[in-house]
Amino acid sequence: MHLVECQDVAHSFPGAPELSLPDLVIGNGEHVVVTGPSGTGKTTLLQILAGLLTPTNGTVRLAGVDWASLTHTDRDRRRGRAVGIVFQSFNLITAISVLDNLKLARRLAGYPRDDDRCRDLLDGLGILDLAHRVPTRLSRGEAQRAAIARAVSGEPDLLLADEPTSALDADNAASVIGLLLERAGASGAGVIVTTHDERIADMFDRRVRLGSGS
Amino acid sequence: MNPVALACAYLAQRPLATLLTTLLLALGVGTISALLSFDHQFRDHLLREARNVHLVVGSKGSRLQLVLSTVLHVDYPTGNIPWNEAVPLLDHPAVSRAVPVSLGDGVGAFRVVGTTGVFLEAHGAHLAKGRVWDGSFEAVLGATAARELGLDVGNVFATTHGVVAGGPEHVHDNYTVTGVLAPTGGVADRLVLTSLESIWEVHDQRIPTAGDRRVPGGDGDAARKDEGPTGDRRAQDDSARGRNLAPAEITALLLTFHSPVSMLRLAPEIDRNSAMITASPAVEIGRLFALLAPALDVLRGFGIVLMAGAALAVFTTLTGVLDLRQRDIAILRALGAVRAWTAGVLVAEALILTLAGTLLGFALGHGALAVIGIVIPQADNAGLSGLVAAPGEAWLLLAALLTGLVSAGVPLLRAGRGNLSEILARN
Ligand SMILES: Nc1ncnc2c1ncn2[C@@H]1O[C@H](COP(=O)(O)OP(=O)(O)O)[C@@H](O)[C@H]1O
Ligand SMILES: [Mg+2]
Repeated sequence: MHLVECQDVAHSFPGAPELSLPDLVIGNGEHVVVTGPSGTGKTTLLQILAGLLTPTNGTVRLAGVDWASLTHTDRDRRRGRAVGIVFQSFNLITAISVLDNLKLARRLAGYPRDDDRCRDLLDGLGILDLAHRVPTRLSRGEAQRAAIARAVSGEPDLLLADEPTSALDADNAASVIGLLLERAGASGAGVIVTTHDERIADMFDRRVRLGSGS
Repeated sequence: MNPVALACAYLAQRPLATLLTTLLLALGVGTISALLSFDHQFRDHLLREARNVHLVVGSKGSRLQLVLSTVLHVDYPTGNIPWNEAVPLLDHPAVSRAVPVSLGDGVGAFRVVGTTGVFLEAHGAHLAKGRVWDGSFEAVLGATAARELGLDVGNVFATTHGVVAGGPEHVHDNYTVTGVLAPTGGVADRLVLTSLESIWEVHDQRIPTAGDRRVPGGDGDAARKDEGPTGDRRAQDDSARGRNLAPAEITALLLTFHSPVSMLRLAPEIDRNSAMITASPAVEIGRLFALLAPALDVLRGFGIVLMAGAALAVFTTLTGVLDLRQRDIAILRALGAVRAWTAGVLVAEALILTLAGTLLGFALGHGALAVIGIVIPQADNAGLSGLVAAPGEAWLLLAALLTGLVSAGVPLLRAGRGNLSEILARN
């Protein structure tokens, strides 16, 4: 069974032309990079894979289960357990500290509390000293690292990251992606990262192009 | 991190709004709860005390004041009536019980009541220890009075003129405690009871009573031991025992009738044909509540306005953070929170806010009553306590929680809707 299967997926946002997405089959533990100019549907693809957006066409399976076959509640539960997401705009919860964001994500993923593990993740990403800061007091680069730490804190089977290095310089981008892949590799998670940063594209097993080249 | 912890984080994120809303709600709930409890206790107290007195006969003046001073022991007495005029009523065939009371003196914060043994019967009071007063300058103390004055059987104490604490004149400093009453839960707890003669000897206004030889019961005929402090006293006691001396005046006569009809027949007669007036505690208390009603209504309206203000504050604050909250709900869903979980956060936030405001309100309201009880002796005499909850307060709690839940729930539920993917993709 494949980790991800996308077949004939297309989505029409209201009042916009239909966006068709390539068929995809991704195996367990596979690291895939999705590239393409902006507006080509990278974010849309990740949301569909995460079960946050139901495409108007096609089927999307995660570990063999069609998202469309699940109720809202089951979809939420499954996403929490199996998928970790780094959003393009980070989407950290600003009312609570960075560490609490990680603890919350871990809890919602159904794992027992493990503060040391959360701290280790922050330490690995070089932001342990920011553990007790609220996200509004982080720089973009720091928030991006916090978002990555949160996405892996729930030990996902599938890690989705939407342009996770957009706020980082080249050196940092490479090291952060390295950490992300290392973390994912440790738990055998499949990884899909979108980017238009050519320099990090080489770090992945496979590359999927959206837009003209698809 | 559970829904409640997250709700607390939200409240802590805007401490000023949280504090203000809580206070506003607390003031509203406090005002209403104090009113409810006050009304409940007052009404309860008044009705309990008034139940056994159908008619008060006293000197001309305010009927309400007459009832308040002689039945409830909260106001100043209106004046005195001649004993001679009261006497015929003691044996009146329509009257089932007649309690003469003579007021005017106090011990500390407690009132001295000259009366007869019938008083105890009328108040359902029983001696916890000692015996009933038996002649002059002996006193039986109500449970609260004894405790707070620190007096016990055998102790000697002084009375002052005037029913209010701290009256300057020492009128007599040789009263002996002969008994202490068991708590009754009524006014008797806070009274110092003695014979009618004691009051009259103190005020030195005795007159020989040629025609009427009756001395109110309860003083008994038992011989007094020959240990009176002065020869003069003994002489007086002797003459009282000899029944050729009786008090010239009393403050009022508290009557209970065999039937309401006989009371309705007798009362106008007294009003018309004597220098005395009659007052029905039930009627006067009804009038008192009618007098208080507008003021209580204004206060109650004030409380409701405060609560509505609190509800509005909750509503506007949460509507103000609607976008933020909508985003957070979407994030939580993305992290795997089911709708019940995110709803739990919102409900917890609303509940914590309203529960805190409501409980603080009850504490404030009852605290205020307790303070009033301490500061105002009349309220204390009326048995006002901060610890008594009115049944209506359960409804107030419910109303406050509902108000909070609705005013918080409406914006928060709106936050629960919205397009997940669209919200999450926002920058
Ligand atoms: N909520 C939406 N409503 C309408 N159009 C949308 C919405 N989200 C994305 N789109 C459109 O879909 C296309 C793909 O967007 P997106 O997936 O964000 O691309 P990318 O992430 O590659 O920049 C774009 O043309 C965008 O304008
Ligand atoms: Mg995008």
